[in-house]
Amino acid sequence: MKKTFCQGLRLLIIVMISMMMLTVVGCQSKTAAPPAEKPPVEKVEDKGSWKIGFIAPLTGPVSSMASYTLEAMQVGIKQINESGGIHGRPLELIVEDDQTNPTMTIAAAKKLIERDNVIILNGPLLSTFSLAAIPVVEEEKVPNLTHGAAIEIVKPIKNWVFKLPHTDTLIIRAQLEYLSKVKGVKNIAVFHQDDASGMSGGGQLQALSGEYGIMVVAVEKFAAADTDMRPQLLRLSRSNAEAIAIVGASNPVGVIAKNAKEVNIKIPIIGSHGAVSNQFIKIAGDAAEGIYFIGPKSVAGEYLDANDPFKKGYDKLMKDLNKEFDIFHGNGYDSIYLIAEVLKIAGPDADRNKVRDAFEKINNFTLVNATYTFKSDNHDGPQADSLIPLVVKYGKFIPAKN
Amino acid sequence: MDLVYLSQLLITGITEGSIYVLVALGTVIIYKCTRVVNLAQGEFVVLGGMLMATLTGVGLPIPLAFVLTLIIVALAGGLVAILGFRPYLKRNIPFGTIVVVTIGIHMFLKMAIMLIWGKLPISVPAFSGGIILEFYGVYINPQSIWVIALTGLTLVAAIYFLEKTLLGKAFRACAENRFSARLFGINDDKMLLIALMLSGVLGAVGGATIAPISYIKYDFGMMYSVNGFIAAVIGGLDKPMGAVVGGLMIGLISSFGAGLFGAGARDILVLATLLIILVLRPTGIYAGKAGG
Repeated sequence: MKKTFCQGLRLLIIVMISMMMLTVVGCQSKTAAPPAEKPPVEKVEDKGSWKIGFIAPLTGPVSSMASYTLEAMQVGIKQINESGGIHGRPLELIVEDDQTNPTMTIAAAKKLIERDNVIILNGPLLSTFSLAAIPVVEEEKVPNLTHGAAIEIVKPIKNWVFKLPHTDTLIIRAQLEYLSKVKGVKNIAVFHQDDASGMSGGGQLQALSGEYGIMVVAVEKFAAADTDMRPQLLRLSRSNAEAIAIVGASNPVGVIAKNAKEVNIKIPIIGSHGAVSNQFIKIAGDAAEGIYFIGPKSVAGEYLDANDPFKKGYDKLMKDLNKEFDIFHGNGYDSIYLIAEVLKIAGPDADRNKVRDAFEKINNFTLVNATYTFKSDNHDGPQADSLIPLVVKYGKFIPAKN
Repeated sequence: MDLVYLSQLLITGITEGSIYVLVALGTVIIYKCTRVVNLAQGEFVVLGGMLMATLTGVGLPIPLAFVLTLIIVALAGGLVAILGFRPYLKRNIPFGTIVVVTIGIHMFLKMAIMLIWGKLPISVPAFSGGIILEFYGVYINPQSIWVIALTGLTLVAAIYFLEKTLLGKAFRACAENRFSARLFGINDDKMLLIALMLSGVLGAVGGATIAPISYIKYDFGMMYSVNGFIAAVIGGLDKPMGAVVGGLMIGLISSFGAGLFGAGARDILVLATLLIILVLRPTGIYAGKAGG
């Protein structure tokens, strides 16, 4: 008996150590560039294509976001290269998967900057990873068009970092505005993801609600990979909340919608732009009906007027994208066209410095998801004019009327 | 905390626990037969969910899709036995090393699933429609009932197989003592095949029934493997009834932990339970006879 116990214990220890190794190393082995101590080197002289680095969580719980962003980027690059490129040189995308791990984000950034000599870094996706990359791009002095939404990314302002998606503050304000003006509620529950963008959004909902005459009576959290939110929803339903404001990504918010239907939640639920994606509808199925969101007009692009300022860009993207539109397609496409525009402004002998300066000359540039303006004292690109309340009806996002 | 809320958590716990029971039982069966802990067990669960999604997607009625799923995963289990286990067992390699091989099998299966079905989450249709049942304020997803019922039925079938059929008895003999069994003419290669096919089917039942409740994704395997393994260890790694007890325990601790203390508490409580039980009862909490 003692012998089997020892054997069993030894086996257990081996298994535990193996599992810990797995979680630390990750299931795909990748050689990461070792941290370099040398000073930043401006190396972008070789002609040929414009090298754009892209970091995204291509594997992990939010990999769908990354896939959509990437495929739209490829459409944008194809369109631009087919019409002659920028200053006669084509755009080239170099993609790195950070496996939804901030340590890998940093390694990927260093590799793209030092080994691939990219002139600009596109991505990372999601605030957690955008924030992780900031020290690297600031030290190496590389312009970074980042896809995270949290306001901390641009406040305080960073010299080399420029934000692509709508700041969560704009989304939060739009959520509160809709709940107070259109739905007329006084008490809400806040249900947010426990990552950087979720914490930022959740915090702002609580901080700003007073301005709209709303009181936050309950707060709950969830993780991106959770598949059961019923405990939190049951607790929220016991409060006197008249609506639930959610900040989170498509997969978990999809489960929330499903669970909310299961436990018979009747009050309005409004999500943020992190989940206004077909992925949400796929997961939630029937439970997606009637869920509200704040998102850019492009999400309901089919239903826009022909003379809507965002219709033109939407149609141009959809012409070559043979898939249903997703907000992350818009992000990917806009990022490439923004980069093309700054390269144009920077001139044929553009380098990283010139590209950085060129960003601050972008003014009222309307693309698919937003109108972008960057100033020397404000690197937060998108304006609020493209944001509207949306609702899911018959499996599609349409502008919400009431 | 009121009774309605606790009842809700109880049902969620038993539902979740059923999957861990199936994975734990599969782990125990393979362990008894080979003294190897199979860390690729969770991938059978994922395969179960994925195959149900695909087969119902091409129009097969759910019962037929379910049976086909079990057959296909059984075949996959057989392949794992032949390609992943047999070459190493034959060469007298220490069992701890073969456990690391099963990690390799886990990675291989996970990547294969990713290549076939992609990285996005996949929805699986519920077996009897989406209308939620309600009893005195407690909401029950009918799919949960399917999970619990089918897990129970599978357990009964597995026990019948092991206790009453000739093949099952031969299998148990092999598990007790491989060399003696060989002397009696029992082919232990065949027994290995059966062990893995049976474990595969157990996992697949779990995956096919639980996937409709949320969704299934290519990287869910490790989570099921780990929790199932912990459940098996708690029950005593070579006792099938222990696996059942351990699986339900883990499911309940997970559900009540998340419900009463928040989502972060889930994993901590499960691991804490494991540590406490190993300290107090190293051979597992289930005091059944060692042969099982």
